[in-house]
Amino acid sequence: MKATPAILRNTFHHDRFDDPRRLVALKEKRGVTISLAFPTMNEGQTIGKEILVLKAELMDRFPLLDEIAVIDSGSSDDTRSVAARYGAKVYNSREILKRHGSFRGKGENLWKSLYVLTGDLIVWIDADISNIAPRFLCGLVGPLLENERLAYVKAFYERPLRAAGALLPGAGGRVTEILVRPLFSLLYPELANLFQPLSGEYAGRRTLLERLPFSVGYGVEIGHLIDIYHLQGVQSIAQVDLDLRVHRNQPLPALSRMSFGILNTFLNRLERYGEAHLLRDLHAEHLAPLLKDRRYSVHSTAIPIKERPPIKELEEYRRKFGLSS
Amino acid sequence: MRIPRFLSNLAASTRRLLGRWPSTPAHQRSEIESYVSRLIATAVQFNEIPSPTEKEQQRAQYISRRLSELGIGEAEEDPDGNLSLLLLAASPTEEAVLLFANIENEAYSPLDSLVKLAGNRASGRGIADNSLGVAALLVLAEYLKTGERRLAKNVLLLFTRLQPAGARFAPLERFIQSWRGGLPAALYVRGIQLGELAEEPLGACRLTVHVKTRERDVLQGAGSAAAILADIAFRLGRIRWDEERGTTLNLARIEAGLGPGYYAAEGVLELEIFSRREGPLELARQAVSATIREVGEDSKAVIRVEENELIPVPDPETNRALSAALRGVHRRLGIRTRRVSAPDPAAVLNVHRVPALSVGITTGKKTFREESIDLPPVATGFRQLLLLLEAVAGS
Repeated sequence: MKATPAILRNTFHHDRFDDPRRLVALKEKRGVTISLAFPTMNEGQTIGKEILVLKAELMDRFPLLDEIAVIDSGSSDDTRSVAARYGAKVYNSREILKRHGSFRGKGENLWKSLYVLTGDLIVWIDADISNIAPRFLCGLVGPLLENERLAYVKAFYERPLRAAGALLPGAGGRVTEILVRPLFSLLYPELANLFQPLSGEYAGRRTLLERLPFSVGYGVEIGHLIDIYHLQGVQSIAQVDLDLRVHRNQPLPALSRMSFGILNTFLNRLERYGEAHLLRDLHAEHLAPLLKDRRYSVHSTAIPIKERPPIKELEEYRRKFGLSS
Repeated sequence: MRIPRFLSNLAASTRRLLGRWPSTPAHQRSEIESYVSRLIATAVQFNEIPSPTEKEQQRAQYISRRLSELGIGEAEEDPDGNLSLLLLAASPTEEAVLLFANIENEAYSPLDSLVKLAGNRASGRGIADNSLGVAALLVLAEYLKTGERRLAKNVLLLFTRLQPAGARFAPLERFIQSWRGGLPAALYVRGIQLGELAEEPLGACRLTVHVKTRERDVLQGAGSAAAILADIAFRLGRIRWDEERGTTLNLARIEAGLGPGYYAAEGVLELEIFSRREGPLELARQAVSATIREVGEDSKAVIRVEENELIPVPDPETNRALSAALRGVHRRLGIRTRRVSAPDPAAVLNVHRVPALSVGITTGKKTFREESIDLPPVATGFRQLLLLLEAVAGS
């Protein structure tokens, strides 16, 4: 019988961590502090609600969170004033570590957040979530508080598409399924056991995060995963099912740009770790984690990858059409 | 149930209370602000829980968890799905001031009920109705539990369903009937009615008329459900109601058909009859039923009338002292009291001789397309609840 892959052994449902009192007790026992940062760029529509709910529930009602910060890339809407009004510390990304210059991108904001945040555990949550709830934070920090061997926790969830005033279930995560899962299946099969490797919500220990390079743009998530794979191994990665995330869906051109950034980081990592040779020894199966009745498993599908030679190389073909070799 | 002694003493105790409470010191204001943020955050989260589900289990689970987090015991759930928690007074007493909220959201939509915060408003389908009431009770429980205030009477929190299909008010009624202690007062805590006081004794009867006809060609639309409903509305509109006794009719909603190109074979009409007295209310209900029957006989359509709700005419005497207390609190907080000519669902409690009023937490807007609450007045609405509770439950 095949052993359960490490990531699936560390795959949880958020309801395991839905008692904030238990998490506060664990936090005190471990003697750690927790910081939350939102990378933002024109998120005035949703950021206020995210801060309000998480601050009211997990700072005021239960002292789980120690700080909430917004790292903004120069929004032209009211993101910064809304965030400040609801009680977050607001930073302009350009003003952090000025000597090192500034780039535009989510990864840049996450990297700079490590400089301004003070917590031992860092949580990053995207600022475009419409159905924010305490489970987003509790689910991400819960595994880190429970298990000191875990260092990095990714969220996964159902990502419905908004269409005709309703939510269509089971859709969303298009770049993951079309680009990242096939890449991981081919080259890093263990990481293919992540349901949503690109999810924008994750938490990590500062001691790990401060050792990671950060792609400034869309490649930050995939870069983290490959770097952690090499630095600490997949057994330090967990993933948590947060049920449902309702957010703004990106148009296809934006997804294309995102894919470009991800692919760029991916190829960069292959080179960095001297793994370009892997391209000559590709894994033969498409791998996808499967969630059924709250049980997690891996579904492998053999995808035909054999290549046919140019037909002109066949003797029969040349003979039939009177071609010379 | 006997008339509680507090009726005669309430006005005096309110005067004492209002005289005793100086303007709120800054540290208390800041303390209350923190609870106000929690209240809004709770309302936002509660509004996004699907409804209706069987006995509103998902919403009930949320409430149970929140009450259990108080660490003062588990909420009790009865067979009707009512959830209740008794917050004990400083010294033992059989009397409890009832605070209740409706946990349903009949207009729930997975997308439209996601709350958006913009400027000083929060919008989302359902936010203006019941979510604020539920949130106010949950946060009030935290406030009373963690604060220093101990009241002279118990506070009974009840989370109920006022509009379950086919049995409106039934869960509340059965809860009241099974309650063994005294209820000196009851407050129905809800959404955007801050400042409203339903002093006019007005009862209501709400009916839903379902019309179904045979499917026909679109050219025969003159006999469609839409036409029949229009006929019912026309005939009801011609009835001369007894305005002296405040008997009037409101055609609240007509809906039929899919639009051009389709024969409207099904439709629904919701209406409500108001009256200042029980007798004329019943007479009016009979007149409406007879008119609908008549249309049914003429049209040969299948017409079904569903009686959804009967809000009894409130008893002004029973509510007098409580109304005075609410007015006093409004004055104290600078809230403009607005007398509204609408039936108050809290009057259901008057039948049991319990003084009862509805209390709104903020102001806002509810229209066909938009539903929103104003955020700044929530602080005043919450203070209003605290002061009113202090007035009726004593300190």
